[in-house]
Amino acid sequence: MVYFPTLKRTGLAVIALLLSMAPWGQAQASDDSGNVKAVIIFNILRFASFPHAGRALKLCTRSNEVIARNLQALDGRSLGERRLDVVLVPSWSAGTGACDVIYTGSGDAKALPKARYGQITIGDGPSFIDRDGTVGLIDFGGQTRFTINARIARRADVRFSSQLMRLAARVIN
Amino acid sequence: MDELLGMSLEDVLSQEVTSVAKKAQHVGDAPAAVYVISQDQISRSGALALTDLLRRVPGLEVFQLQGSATSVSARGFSSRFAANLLVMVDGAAIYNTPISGMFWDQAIFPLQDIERIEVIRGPGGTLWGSNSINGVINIITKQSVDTQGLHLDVKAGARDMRGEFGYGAQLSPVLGVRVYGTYRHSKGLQFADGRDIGDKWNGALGGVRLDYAPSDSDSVVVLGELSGGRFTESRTDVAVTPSGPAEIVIGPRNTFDSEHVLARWKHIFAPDFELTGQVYFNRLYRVEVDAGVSRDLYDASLEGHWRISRMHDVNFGISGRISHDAVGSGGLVSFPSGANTDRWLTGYLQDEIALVPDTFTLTAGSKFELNNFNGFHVQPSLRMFYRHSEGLAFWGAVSRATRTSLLQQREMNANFFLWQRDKRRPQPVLTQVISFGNKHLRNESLLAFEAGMRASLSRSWSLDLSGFRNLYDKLVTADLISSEPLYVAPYTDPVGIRTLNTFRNNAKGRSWGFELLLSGQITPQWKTELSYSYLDLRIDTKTVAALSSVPSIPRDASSRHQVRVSTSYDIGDKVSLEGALHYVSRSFDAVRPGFADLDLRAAYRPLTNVEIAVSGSHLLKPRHLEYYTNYIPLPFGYVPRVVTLETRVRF
Repeated sequence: MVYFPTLKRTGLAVIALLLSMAPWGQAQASDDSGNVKAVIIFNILRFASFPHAGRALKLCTRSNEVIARNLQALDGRSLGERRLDVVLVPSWSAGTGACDVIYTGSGDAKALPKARYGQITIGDGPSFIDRDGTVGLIDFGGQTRFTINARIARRADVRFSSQLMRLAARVIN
Repeated sequence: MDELLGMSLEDVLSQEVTSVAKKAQHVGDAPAAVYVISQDQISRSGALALTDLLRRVPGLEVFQLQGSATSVSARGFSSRFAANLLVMVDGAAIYNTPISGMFWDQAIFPLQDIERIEVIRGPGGTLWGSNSINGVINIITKQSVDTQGLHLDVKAGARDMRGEFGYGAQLSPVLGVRVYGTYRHSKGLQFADGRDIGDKWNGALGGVRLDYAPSDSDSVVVLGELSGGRFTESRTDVAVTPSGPAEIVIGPRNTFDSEHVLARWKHIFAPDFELTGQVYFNRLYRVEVDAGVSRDLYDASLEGHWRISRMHDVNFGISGRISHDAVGSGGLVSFPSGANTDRWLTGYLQDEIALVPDTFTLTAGSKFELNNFNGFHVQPSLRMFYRHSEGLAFWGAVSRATRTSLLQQREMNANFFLWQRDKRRPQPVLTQVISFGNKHLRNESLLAFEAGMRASLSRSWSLDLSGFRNLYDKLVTADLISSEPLYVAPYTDPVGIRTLNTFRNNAKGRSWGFELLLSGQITPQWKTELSYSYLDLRIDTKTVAALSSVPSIPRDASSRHQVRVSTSYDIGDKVSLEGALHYVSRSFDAVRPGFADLDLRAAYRPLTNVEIAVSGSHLLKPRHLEYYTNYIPLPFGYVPRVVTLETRVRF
């Protein structure tokens, strides 16, 4: 019993320390998770073949998306023979015709202007590819994985490598 | 972000090593000899069994000795159950106490559901506890949300068949489920002349896994699995013939069934502090060597990871385990007390101290273990990691690890015949071995010194070198109590010798060796690995006279050299070719000659969700001997050439 007050004080100190760490930690975690998501998108694009063979592959997203800053850090990176250009648009109504890849965040692919030939959409959520999205990103248990709607990709004449398809959590053929 | 960009997509999604430090870390930063079998390597292999995948790990010895048994060991001590290697699935130990090792044949969960296999060569006792004295194998399976849709994989050949299915679904944004199953059939091994020994194996497994993640801070896994099967054991025995006793091979038919449930909850209290609680229950019944073994295993653990500051990263945990074993007595073994219950209480604490952040790290910790048969013992280790530059890193470690005495050596009595042979005695000598358990056996212990280096030779080539010096103490020996001429009716003259033995801690051992791995890409489509391992192992028993004291796990079946070259080549997106050439030098006792092995696989994908492949294993000879030991009644079983056709479909 002599130790109880000491233990109690120590326990409170531990809880106080944990609580005090949380805000900084959450910001850090959010940035880390944004980086992981951005790098997964970057890698998916490395394993995709687009019908247009221009020098740059244009990835568009809204400037207010959570990972917009993380995606912007990838601007100018090499995707093999092409370069990734990250374009921030204020809203989808500004036009997406020049984009090869549209990252919609948690938005619905159906809310976008109709995808043109050679254009794919990437978005968040397990049902994104069920609603005409091409590549979905799923956050589950602190980890991110991706799903592919190969039917929509075929319609746009965009091909994903079999290696990428093997790693996908779900594929709609 | 640059670090993430330097990793492959598979690495970003999953490639993290948790077995070295019980926390996610990149392979290149682990202060241990670690090799990760990736999802891509598993997918490209034509493996018919989990053990086939392990053959690619540098320094690991994988030998098939019966249709139902494969020996897997690290850094020597190859034996029927490889008691020095801890094997886990998702962190739950599936090591079996009464038989002191793994029933590898029962590990038939779908290979396509494995995310990665982490193999650590060297002691892992500080975090994982006893019996990880020479290594740890941690098989990590995919979450259910990673395997959505229906997967089918069927491999069939003249000798083997394996079918797997899995169906995964995300029921809601926070709930995923997978049901899965496997069926496997094997005709087993052959005699030297090509006749089948008859050690067939048939088994099936089914399971369901639920993943629940109500928030980014909580994840829950609940898993239930059951399996069962029947197999024919191959064993030597004695036949009475007019010209004298003769060696024969008999094939008793055996069965197994097993059920287990696992539940794990992980909660992230803060980005730098998390706790994981896990409970595990396994019920096993298996008949082998004329005895039925039934076991109820209860295991519960609570583990934490706390990054206290930029300098201190702490892991801690406590766990309890109860194993209740009942062994029915048969012709070969008897268990006087009929049943036994072992209890363990363990705790560990380890601090990773970043003395120079991202450059020099010191890791110190210890496991504390209390059990009801060997008492209290500690397993400390000190590890250091030094990153000299982005492409060059060094690590070193000093560890103490223990192996608790095995139930079969403590409690069981055995009575069987051996036909013992070696290179000096081509004609086998008939020996009746009668052995008695010894309740006073102590822990075997190991003091291990390890060092390693990892270097990036270029953007696409890397070199991994690990060396070790192991000093073993109190190794268990089978000690001769007395011997006398063996009389077998109806013969009037002695036909061999009868020995009475018991187990003691009468041997010391020392080994050294190294493992070298060169891996890289010749072109982006052409990946290659070259590995070489060397082992020098000596065991000294206290008594001098031949047969008076032999190590219970002798060095005999292990080999000094192993070389492996494996390569994979993609032709476009539709065709993949794989090949592996593996050489194993002769066994230390020279009974098993050296052998070379060639595996080839060609896969064609006519559609993005369909793959058809043809695989050939052990192609260089019609059959070859991988394992033989004089200390169990085992016939010379030759591993035959196997060709299979495989179809994979994903909907």
